[in-house]
Amino acid sequence: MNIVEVKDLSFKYETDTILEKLSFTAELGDYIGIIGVNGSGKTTLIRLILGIIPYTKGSIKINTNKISYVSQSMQNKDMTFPASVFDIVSLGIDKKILRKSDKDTINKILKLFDIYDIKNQIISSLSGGQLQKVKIALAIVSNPDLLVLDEPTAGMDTDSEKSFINYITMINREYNTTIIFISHKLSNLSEANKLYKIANKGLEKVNATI
Amino acid sequence: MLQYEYMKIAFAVGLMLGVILPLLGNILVLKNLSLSGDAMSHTALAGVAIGLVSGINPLLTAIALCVIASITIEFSRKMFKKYSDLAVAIVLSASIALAGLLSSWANSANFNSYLFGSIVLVNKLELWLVIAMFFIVIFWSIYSYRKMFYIVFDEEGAKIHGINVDFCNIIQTILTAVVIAVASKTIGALMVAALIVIPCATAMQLSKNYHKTTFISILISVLCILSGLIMAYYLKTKPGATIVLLSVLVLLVVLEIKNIIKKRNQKKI
Repeated sequence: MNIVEVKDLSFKYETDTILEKLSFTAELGDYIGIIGVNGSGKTTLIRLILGIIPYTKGSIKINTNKISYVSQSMQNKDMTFPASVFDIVSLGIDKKILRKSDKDTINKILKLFDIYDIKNQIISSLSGGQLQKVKIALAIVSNPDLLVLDEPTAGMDTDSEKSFINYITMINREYNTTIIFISHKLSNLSEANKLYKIANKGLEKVNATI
Repeated sequence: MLQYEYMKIAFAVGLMLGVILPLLGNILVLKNLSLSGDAMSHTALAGVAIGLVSGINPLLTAIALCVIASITIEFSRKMFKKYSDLAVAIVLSASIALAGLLSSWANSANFNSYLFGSIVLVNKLELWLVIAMFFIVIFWSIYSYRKMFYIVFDEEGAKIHGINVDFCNIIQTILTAVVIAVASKTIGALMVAALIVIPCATAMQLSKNYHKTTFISILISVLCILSGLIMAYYLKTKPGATIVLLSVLVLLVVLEIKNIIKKRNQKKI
């Protein structure tokens, strides 16, 4: 079953063509890595897929509504928002009142990302790396069918980056979650079963073994 | 004091507005739209002026114009993402100009009652409107609490998560506009903007947690409105102005206490 179907996708910003006739599919359980240099249009592609910005030509079909997204940017707001780590991660649970089982699920995710001990801390007191882990925990707690990651390890130290990659691989294999992982570092995409490169406004399949 | 019917109504109206103004205000503050309360209260004044000049109930024209202004701000916020305060500034300027222009032809006594408020002169229509808005805002706040929390934290993330962000934002915006228009008549257009923001600012000094900030801001707002009313009754001052000055005083006291505690802690280190 295809979770994402992108066909002949083109995007123009004013008169500049950013992406042209780009196609790919992601099946349920796929781990897709997309690599490209800064400014190649990786984030634009993700924002088009997620419907944040409208595309110029082509088609995008998403066959699930259980989608989570982790952006690369750390907005200024994140650093000043008055909420604890637990409060933020709990937003991923679609319920008006959290039950004990929901709190247990959140605590399990917090432990996995090594942020359980700081769960009552206000997010404005966290480091960039810790804040990124909170955002990833929020994305994962809803158990999505499609997890879209845009440079998610930005701001993390090497150890955290490694354990993050291991965790993403684990949820892909255990829960059959489709992953679309964008990075400019090839080493982050070593577990991807399909690897693409954004170059010359298009998408090329990369067959090289990492 | 409570032997007078008008004081009982003033306390009831004060209590209800004291709860719903910070509930809506917190969302505005966290969306970095604190000044939109100011813009909308001035829009209410322009609406009142239209009503007074045209002969239509000023409260209704104030509500209508506030809703239009708030929707304009909401849509402009999307168009000028990085300059969301631009739309607020434009609406604020246009409203002041329109109110100023039309007030030349309006009855000045009536116009002043909207400028400075008249919580002790609330009529039946206004009382029922406040009661209706109180229950609608409470219901909406409970229903959308976690959704709005997600939206103010990360609007894009909330949309992708499946929350109907546009619907939530538009309902929140319309409710805020109507409450500001109604409150402009009771506590005064110039006071509404202050009361929507100051209790939230004070609460944010006392807590860095969204839930606690919401609760504390309601508590501060209710206490300031009720004690402001009592003070105004005995000191024979204007209730709206007394309430706002009391809120500012509470904020200054909290800031000073925080400052003293901070200095003491620094000395200990």
